[in-house]
Amino acid sequence: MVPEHITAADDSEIQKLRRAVEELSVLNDLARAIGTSYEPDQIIRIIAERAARAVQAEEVSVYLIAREVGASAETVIRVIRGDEQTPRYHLKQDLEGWMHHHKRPLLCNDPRTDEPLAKMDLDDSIESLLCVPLLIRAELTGLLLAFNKRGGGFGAEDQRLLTIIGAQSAQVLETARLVEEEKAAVAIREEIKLAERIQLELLPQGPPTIAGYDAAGVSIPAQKVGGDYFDFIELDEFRFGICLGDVSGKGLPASLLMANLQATLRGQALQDGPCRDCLAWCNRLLFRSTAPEKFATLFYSVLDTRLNAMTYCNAGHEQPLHFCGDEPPARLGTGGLMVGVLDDFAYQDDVCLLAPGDLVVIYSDGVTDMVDAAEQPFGEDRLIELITAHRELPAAALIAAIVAAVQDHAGDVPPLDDVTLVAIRRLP
Amino acid sequence: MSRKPCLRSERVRDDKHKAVICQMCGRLIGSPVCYEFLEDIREDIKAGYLNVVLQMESVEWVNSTGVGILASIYTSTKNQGGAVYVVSAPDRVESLLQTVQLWQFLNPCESIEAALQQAADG
Repeated sequence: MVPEHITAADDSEIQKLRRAVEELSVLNDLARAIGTSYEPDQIIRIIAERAARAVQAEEVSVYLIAREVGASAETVIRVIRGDEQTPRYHLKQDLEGWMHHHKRPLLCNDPRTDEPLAKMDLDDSIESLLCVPLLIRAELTGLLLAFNKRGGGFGAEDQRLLTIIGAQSAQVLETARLVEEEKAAVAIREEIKLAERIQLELLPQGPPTIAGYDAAGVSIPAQKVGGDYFDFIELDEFRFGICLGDVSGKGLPASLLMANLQATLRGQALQDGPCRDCLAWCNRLLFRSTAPEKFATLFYSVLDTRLNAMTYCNAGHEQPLHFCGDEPPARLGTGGLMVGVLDDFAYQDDVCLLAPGDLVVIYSDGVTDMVDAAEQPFGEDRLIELITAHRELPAAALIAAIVAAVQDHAGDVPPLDDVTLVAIRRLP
Repeated sequence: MSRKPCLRSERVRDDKHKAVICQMCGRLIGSPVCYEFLEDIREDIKAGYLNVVLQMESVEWVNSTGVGILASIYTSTKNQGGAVYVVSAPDRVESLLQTVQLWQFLNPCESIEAALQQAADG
């Protein structure tokens, strides 16, 4: 019962104040609740639950919109309501589309006849609906949807309250989303670190000991992990398999293919067949296990220290350089097509005899294709000049000199490809 | 460092020679545009245009992924009984394709007309 001295106008003011206090209480309660968590699902659940209570809706759902780079359309990724996991009412694509366009609250107490819902195919069980956008810097990041006001339709005050809750929630959800993204990015970075370590362990840990020879190799990936590799495989006391491969593509996919190729080649090398058969098998296995546009160039050789002969097969790789005396270097090109392109390919092999002091340098195209700021590649001529000038250096020092020259050529230009080198010199 | 434009291409289907003629320009590298180009050509091959003529005079650069795309076009045509014909490839591109030994499968031709004639001759 209203006291006599309180007029109708006063009563209206009191109701407004009471409502304002309730709203503040709701917002305070919401702020405290969501302030305790960075878990997006939990935050969404709290928002939906508190909002449903505040506007006395049967159900409130929060729709978050995925923002994928390059996606032509944004899609709803997460719907959570307050008290149950599965929402009873479902948002239709056209309502999301309307909100994308208008970005303002939508209140409708007769969805069958009121625009724009009348034209939308909504669930029959929806009697009334209040929808507010979640906006971050004018970009729609989600929707807050209240369904079926208990005891009547939604009013302007419900719209105002839900709009305030939406505005408060949008930033909190954005922060939670960023935290979630950062967590995912950290996990990916950890995985890449692990892949990098595994790949490093796949490469020879040091120069091989080959009687009468000095050999060394290096591989520097352009990204965290690379698609190049080299290997020294001890076949027996006198024979060493020496290879260098370059898998198409870069980064993690190339590194996985590289690990596959390395395992395949090691398996085939230990079968002790001719180099050509070894690469024919690698080719077949790679062809059958990868997409047609995936391939590898691969140089495989077997050095026999009794015969001082290097039998080799070159599957589409940059032709290694054989320096003998004062002659211009010979190129080791016999072989065939890069591996992984055709199911069946007959490779050829050849023999390179090594005299005392002879040097063979095997390299990937990352060496010769390294460009400077003017996009001029390092080039094969420069490589040959450099090797000729440093012919007498030990293999490891020669490789270090080449890497330094290539990096010096590139300057500040980031490398586009992995740089991999192997040098083998017959001791005089 | 300024980046040169990626691949631009125009394709024309030639019913008489069951061929698709592609004018290529720019860089054939591992970009989405280049993969789309590959998919379009595969569609052409599926549609019965078994011979692919690649006019490469204005191709500035092919990297290892680009080589993979060419290899893939080659295997797609081969599987359907067709062939790839490369017209006027620049020296640098030819040299790369020679190195990976793919060149021998790409039927180099001096002109589009010569390529179509070669396709007709089987």
